[in-house]
Amino acid sequence: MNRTRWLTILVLCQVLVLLGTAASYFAVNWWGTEIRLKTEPVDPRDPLYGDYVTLHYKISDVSPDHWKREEPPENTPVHVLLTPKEGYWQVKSVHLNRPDPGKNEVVLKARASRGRSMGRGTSSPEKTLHLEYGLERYYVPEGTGRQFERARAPLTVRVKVAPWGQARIVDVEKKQRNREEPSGWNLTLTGQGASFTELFQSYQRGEQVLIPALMEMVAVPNGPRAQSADPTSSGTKIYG
Amino acid sequence: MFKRWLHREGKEWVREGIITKEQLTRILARNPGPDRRMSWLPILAGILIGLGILSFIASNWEGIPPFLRLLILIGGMTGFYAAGEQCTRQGFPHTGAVLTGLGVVTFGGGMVLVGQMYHLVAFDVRLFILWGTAALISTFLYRHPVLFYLTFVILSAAQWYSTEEFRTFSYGTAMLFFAGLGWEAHRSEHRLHRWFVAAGVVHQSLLWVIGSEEEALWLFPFLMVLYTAGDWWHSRGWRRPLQTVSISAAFLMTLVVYYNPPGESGTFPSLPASLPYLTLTAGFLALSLRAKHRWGRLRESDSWLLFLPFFYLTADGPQWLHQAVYLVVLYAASVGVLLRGSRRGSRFEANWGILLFLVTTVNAYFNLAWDFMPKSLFFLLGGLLLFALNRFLQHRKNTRFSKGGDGR
Repeated sequence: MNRTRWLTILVLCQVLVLLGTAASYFAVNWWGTEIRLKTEPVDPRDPLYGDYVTLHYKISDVSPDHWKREEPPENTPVHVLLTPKEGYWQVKSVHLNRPDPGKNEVVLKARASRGRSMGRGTSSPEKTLHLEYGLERYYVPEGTGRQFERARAPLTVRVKVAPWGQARIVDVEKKQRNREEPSGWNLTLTGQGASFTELFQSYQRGEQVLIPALMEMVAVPNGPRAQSADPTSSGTKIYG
Repeated sequence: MFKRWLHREGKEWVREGIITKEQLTRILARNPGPDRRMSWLPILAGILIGLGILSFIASNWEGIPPFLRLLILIGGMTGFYAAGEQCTRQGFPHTGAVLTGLGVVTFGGGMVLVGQMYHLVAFDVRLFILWGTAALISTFLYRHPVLFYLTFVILSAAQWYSTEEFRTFSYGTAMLFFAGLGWEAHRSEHRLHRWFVAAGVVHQSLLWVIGSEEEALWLFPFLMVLYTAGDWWHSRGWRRPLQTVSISAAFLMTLVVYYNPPGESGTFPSLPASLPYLTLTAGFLALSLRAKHRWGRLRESDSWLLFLPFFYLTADGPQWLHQAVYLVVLYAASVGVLLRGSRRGSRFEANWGILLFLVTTVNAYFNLAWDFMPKSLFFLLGGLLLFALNRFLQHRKNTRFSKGGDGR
């Protein structure tokens, strides 16, 4: 075979590798199980290095009881079995060989090492088992990391885990403050009629408005949920 | 380089009446010599163009949708390979090799960028192995030094990355290195290739020792393999790179042992299990001596001093005894190299021996005199000692070589 033919095969293989890498992304999307992970409050100094956000998960530091071997872990490759608990996925056990995940369980690959001291401020010799999943960096478009920088509150990270162990971050969202009291009410008018906008504007000016029978008035709590919620379904109907 | 030397020396020859002026002109015309600047220009140009493209794409990268980015990467890579082939065919091998090299680099960078784009996670050096394979096949196809050294860098970095980041030795990378680059160096006319392969083997062995968390002293048997291979494989210019590199590495390791007497596990370096270690040493020693006997080079056996595990005998004794024994070993090995260079008339080996000798003296001096001498006196005497030693050794070498030598 001449050189050109070899070169063609070589270049084709490389194109296939690049396409395959991209395809594995979609494969994880199609066949993966979605899990939700909670992060610890982001390092207040500067979580944004360049164009990625550093994430520290609740499952990144676990009790040293999960480590069953004599010698301490030193960047040891491990398989971590996760199972959901109260909406978020938690570490169930840590294995050296890949375990078979049961129903409602996924396995993530990680590297284990000795973590930080358990008792804060005490001289407790016990250190957490630190697990690194390779999911600690979330690349964001340049300049958009600012919104995460101010997020001292825990974040929720949605991760897809493929049956063959590959994992990738789908999305990083701010944790929703479900239990917080609403700070006020939004009044929304829905209905038909030419005078709707007019009515609404006078309502905004604080004037008393007469609402036609065809319209209904809905009040929804003023909070993060309210922005996206459909007012007719989740609000409280106070007039109709 | 050679032409400049010929020009300079030639004038001397004419002056001394060895050759006539016409003969010199004819000799110079016979050896036009490759103009090295010509081959470096396209390489430099290629690097600049590559950097320009990279920085342009990087600064606009976020604005491009992922699918288009993938297309740009694939298009760029294919374009570089095609242009490289075209240039080589039209008789511009250097430019062609540089363009092909840019194709290889684009492939590696493309894998990283695609991974980043889709938040993919790597747990081993698979990516590097794919990259190294592509580089190696390109090297085989074009057999150009630029591609050889690119492959060398990729595979060495891959092994380092695997040990550093994943704490495992990548046997795949090592295989590609030994078989691929070793084979290419073997059939290549470029002598420097073999030096690189020898140094790369030491690098990979060192990373194996680190990655597998074995005792550091296990590096010695690897160096023995290299040295013995040099004994048997003396054709095609393998002996000198293999043995020079293995002896130099063994010399450095011996320096480490000189400072740190090996002990039980927990100390550095700790003693390896004696039975397998001694068996291997004896085996390689026998193999090496057999080759030396066969080709009548038994006089060179003194190099084995550096490989013999004296530490099993001296580790339990007092520290001064251990250090005294190893100082003798270091000096004996340096003098051995120096004398061999002198005997063979090899300027290269003589200089190398002088270097080893001076390094040994500096270390001995620092180790022995640092504690009990005032510092200013220490430096003064040390400098004078080195100065005198160097003068003496250079003088001896020059008297020896004034009647010829192989010029290296």
